[in-house]
Amino acid sequence: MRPSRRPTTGWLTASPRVGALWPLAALVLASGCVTTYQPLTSLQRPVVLNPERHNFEDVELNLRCIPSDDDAISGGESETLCTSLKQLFVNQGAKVTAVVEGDEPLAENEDLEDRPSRQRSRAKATAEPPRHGLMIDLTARRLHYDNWPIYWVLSVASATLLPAITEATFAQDIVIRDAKGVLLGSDSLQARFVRYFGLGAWALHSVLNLFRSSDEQISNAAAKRDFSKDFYGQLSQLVFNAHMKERALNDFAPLPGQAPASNPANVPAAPAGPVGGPAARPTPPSPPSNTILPGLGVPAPAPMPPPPPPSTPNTPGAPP
Amino acid sequence: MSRTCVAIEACVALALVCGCVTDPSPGVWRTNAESRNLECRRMTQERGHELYPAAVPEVRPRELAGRVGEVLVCEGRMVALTDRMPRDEAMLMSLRQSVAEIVERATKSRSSKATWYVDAFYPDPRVSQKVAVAARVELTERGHRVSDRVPMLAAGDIAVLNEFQPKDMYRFACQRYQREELLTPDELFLGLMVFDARESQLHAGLCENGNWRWLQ
Repeated sequence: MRPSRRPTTGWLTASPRVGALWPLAALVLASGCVTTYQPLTSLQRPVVLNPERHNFEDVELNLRCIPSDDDAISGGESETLCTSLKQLFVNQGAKVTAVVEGDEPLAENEDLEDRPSRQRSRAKATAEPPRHGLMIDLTARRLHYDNWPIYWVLSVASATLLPAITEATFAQDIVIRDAKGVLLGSDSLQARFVRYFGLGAWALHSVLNLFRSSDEQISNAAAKRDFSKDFYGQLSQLVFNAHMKERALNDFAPLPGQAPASNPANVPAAPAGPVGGPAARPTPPSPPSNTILPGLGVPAPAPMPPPPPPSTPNTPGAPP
Repeated sequence: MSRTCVAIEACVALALVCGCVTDPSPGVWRTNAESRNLECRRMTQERGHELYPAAVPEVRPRELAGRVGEVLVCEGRMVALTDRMPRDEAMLMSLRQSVAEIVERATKSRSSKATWYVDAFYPDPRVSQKVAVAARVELTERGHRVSDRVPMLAAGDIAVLNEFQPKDMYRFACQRYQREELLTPDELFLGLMVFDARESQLHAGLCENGNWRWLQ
């Protein structure tokens, strides 16, 4: 009687137990995912000002990050967001106070990480509304979420060669008021993220990225970089527009707590007269490092180096 | 793996890949630039069917109870984002909304018998013209009388006004309009302008009886 022989076609099919484990092993090994970022509505709008410049000299800003009710952003993520945005505006020369709804306000030079988590107070903020400066309220919402089970089934069946796809759309609502409560600006920044999980999608985009330019890369890092660039830029633009609107409504009088304002980039135009050419195209801001996706907060930008000496702008109305 | 399974998997993969062609987000078939040149909005399926009946299917009655279907509607931009200057593009993207807000504030508790003069002061003359026309159209749609002319100051007055800061320039111009009788008490002048090269919004002021008031 001949002894039974195991098939020698390969170790994967050598035994039923090993053969059943290979999809699971493939799943574990192929845990890469690729996230694509698509800006919607206001995030598509071009940004004019350069967030690397001192755009908010002697301007007081009061940030308030409100955790959402639909788990789009938790309390911890709101804290991270507030810390990041505080650094963003401090880099631009502003005096910033940041508070997460439900926390005591941060001091000017205080960072959230400085507070021991055990001693972090969760009492309601009882501070009086600031007497001057802008009030910026940020609230995150999740507009849409899709996670199709059929894709996961196919992905497991194909050892993640076919991707499992999840899609989410987030909105960051921004409301800017002055110290008196007058509405100066509001907007909703919306972004859509599509995440492909699996070896097939990761490998395909890794190969295609070799032939793509740096602006067209599709990867998790590229999605984070592009989103942060858009988000920081749009928020800075909104706040600057609100600041200018406040100055106009106050007849350009020096605001309380501020030095007499100077207009380094004025655009004078004579009434009933011709105007000059367009202003110089601003350079796009470099994105901060360690960016993370919404729902997880946005990390603090690195401290900026001193801005370069401003060049003379091509102001319309100036003599030729 | 049997040939049938391979064939099924290939078909599914092909379907997935083809399905991704219609996804507006960047991917295998669409670059970042192409994706950014799509104007996409989320809306309910019912609203999507009202606006685009050929593209969005009607909500079936049994789907109405409970779950609300959503669609992502995307339209290609007529002008690519990089075709114009960033500030011009940002200004024009929200022109209708910003002009409507300005006109709303300007015409609040104003008689419809008054005649309106509108002018825009913007570095690019083409954009300036668009802004002025948008404001005139908005005023007309609200039932106000709008003139297609603008009050003109003498060259000497303009030369003097150029010496002032922008915040004072318009106030003094408004006073000159009244002194030179370029504006009667029944006539109003609405000016739209920008102040800082870094901002992407319009400011507006109203000249009435020689008094200049900032609207925003």
